Amino acid sequence: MRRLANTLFLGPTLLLFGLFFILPMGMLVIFSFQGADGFTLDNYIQILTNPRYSKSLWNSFWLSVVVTAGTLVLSGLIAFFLARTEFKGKNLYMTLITFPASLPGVVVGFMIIVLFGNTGVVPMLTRQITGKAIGSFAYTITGIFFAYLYFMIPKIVMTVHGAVVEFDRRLEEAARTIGANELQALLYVVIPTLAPAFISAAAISFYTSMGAFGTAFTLANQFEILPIIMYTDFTLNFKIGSASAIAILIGVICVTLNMVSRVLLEKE
Amino acid sequence: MGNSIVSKAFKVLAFVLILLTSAFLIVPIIFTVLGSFSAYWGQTMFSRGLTMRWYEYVFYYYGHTIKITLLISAVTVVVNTILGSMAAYKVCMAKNAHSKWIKFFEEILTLPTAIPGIAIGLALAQAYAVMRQSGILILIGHIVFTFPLIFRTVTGALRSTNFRAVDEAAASLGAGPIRRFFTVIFPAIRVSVLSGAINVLLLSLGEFNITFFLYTPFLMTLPVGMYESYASLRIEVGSAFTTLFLVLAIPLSLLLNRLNKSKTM
Amino acid sequence: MTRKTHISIKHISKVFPDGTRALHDINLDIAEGEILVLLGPSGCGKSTLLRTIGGLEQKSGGDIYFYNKEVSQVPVEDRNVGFVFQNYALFPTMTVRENIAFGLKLRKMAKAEISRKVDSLLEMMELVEHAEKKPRQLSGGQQQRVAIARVLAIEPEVLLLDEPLTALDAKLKEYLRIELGQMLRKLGITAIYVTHDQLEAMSIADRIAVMNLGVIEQVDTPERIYSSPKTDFVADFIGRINCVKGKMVSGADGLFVDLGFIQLPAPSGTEKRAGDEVNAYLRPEDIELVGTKADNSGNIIQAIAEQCIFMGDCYHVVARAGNEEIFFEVPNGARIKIGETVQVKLNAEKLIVL
Repeated sequence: MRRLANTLFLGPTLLLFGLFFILPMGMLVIFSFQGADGFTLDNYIQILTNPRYSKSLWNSFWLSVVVTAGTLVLSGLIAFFLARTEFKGKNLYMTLITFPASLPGVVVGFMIIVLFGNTGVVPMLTRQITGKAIGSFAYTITGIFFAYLYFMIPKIVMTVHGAVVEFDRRLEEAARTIGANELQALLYVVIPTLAPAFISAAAISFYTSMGAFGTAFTLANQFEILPIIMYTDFTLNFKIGSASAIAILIGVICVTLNMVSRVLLEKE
Repeated sequence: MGNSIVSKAFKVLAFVLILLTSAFLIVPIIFTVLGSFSAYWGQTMFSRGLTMRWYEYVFYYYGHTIKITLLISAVTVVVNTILGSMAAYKVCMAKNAHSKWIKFFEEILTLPTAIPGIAIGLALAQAYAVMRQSGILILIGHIVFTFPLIFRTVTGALRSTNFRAVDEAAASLGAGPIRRFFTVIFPAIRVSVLSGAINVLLLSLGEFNITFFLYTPFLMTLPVGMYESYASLRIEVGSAFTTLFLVLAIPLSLLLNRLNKSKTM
Repeated sequence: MTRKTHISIKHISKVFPDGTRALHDINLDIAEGEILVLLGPSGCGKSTLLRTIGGLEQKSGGDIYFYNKEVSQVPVEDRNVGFVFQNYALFPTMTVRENIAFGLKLRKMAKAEISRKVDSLLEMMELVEHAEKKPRQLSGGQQQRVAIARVLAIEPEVLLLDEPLTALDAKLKEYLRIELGQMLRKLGITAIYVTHDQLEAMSIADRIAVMNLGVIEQVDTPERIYSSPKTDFVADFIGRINCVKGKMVSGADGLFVDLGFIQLPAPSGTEKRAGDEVNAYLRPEDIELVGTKADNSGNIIQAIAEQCIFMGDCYHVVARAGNEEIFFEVPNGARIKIGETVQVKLNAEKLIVL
């Protein structure tokens, strides 16, 4: 009876994961090491040596770095603002600015089209004010950058907000009383104390940007970043091996940084 | 004194950035809704008046994607609510809850949120290419990918209170595991289960990355349909389609917010 | 001993944005080198007053002078006050040494000088072997010493301490109360010390300012606060005391207080007049058991024992006299049965009438 109950509670889940998660992922690993004549590391080596792949790795890396930097600054500002300012409609404001975190990647892409597309809000407004349309860059790398900011900011605001709220303001006051001005207190006391939360947020932002697909694909499906290259290799070029290797590489980066961020948040 | 000027300038800059960022996040949502009713969105928005035409268009050509998505999401939620809360119960309450095996299971069961959807999508598409036509693979992808959301919420709730003692008390009174789960534990964590279920629903409704590797032209989900409309149709159609998605997503988000608040209180 | 006035607070008031009035027309002079304790129940405004003096809160009205210089416009970082917080607010990411050196680094002092100064503070506070530890590795008492060293490093003009012992457990608190008092006296620095604990206040203060509901009720030495409270609040808040409603009456040889069950001679110098309704206060130690035999010499009353609680070193007795309840202490040897009539002598010289 007991054994039956045990099987009932965990069994179906383990079966599901075994068949449809572990097995396919395992096969993905095997495919990534498969060449024309058996085992090979070529699929991985080419990511670094073949310009088509190395360039997109480089693009993905820099895009993620810049997005992460921008996200940290802007989300940090909003988190501090939310934690330290009381105003009417604060709950509504918080709901509004965190809502984009629940939007699918493709919709985020569309939000950028609405803002920066050819007939987008920003070109429309600038044309009315200056007579010339400015800011119709939705379908470029700049558009992708803004799109990634669009879904990262709400997510990171939610991640760091708790830490900022719980920060003991007496630490800041203590710094002020012994001679630090507001900026020095922020720089030497507040930010170092909150560093684990922000580093964890940076890890989340970086790996999410590395693995994001729908958003970039909506805006520029030719753009050379790893997820799009992987998709093209799989569907158009039928290069199973290199697509698998890219998927595994992105997966490893994401899982590693996910662990880093969890460890740091638990430390808090 | 110089410091206070720097400090003031910094504050003004910060405030401007917060304002711009907030506008950046909120404005496109508003304009999407507005644009969906515009007869012609060109250099201005309402120069040719209002229309419901784009909604009719979306329902006519993409109505099926909404139906498919609702079906897949509904099944995903039901399956994961049952599997997720039962697995969480077992992982938290097992006699050997601190053993390495249980920890390992837990890591595996939460892994799908850490791995990018495209990797899971590619893996499923390669391993089960034969199942693709039936559409069952989309459903399986959704179930695997969203499972961690409810599993984590419920394990969190089970660990926040001393449910182990409650469970053991019920066991000492003679209740078997199935009865304990349904009469003692489940009623106490139902708010967490509900919020986990809504999380699953939201993620499943908008899932694109996995689905894009698994769909067929005859089995297209709402986000894939949206993608297609963004890529090849007018911006007004995209707006109408997106607004329909927002109509599904916004109430769920609000409900989720409320549930999370009531949980922390 | 008249010392120069160091800090002068004139008509300070503070209203919070939500409309709460935290301070109301506070006036207070603190002498150079004096240790003044702000004592009161939680929410009385004592911490707000301290934070206002330190520049952490903005006043709503009035002036604060440090040596005749108005400081309200001086930002907190330039006010040169050493503020010791309730939980010490040590910077968790810095070592003990870095915590102490922080204020000096901000002042752009030369490296060699900083390390010399920090070393001497570490020595003074007996923290040398903990210099490289992080705050969370220290005990509560050690953390407190780091907090004090950190503010002493900047050679503050004034030391402001906000409930510095409240976070500690009872034993350590008792020990540090004495140590902290000695240290403050040795430093000779002007200090304002906030607490809700009267034992702490009594043992540390040169003078105590008792606060309630945003006003200062009385400023006096600990002895006078205890023996001659000026308001009902102070009488009731400090120590344990009997309170009986009474009426002033004039008798054969002067003014008396009629308590219903006895008339006691009014304290000399009272401003009350015959016919005034008053509260009469007498501390339990001014009530003495004088045996159960009849004896009618002055100020002796009979009361019926209602409770007798063993306290270890004595008994606490609650007894009924007329319609009033009074309480007092009796030594261990005395046996009092509940319901028994006892005779006690009231020390009329210690009577307080408000």
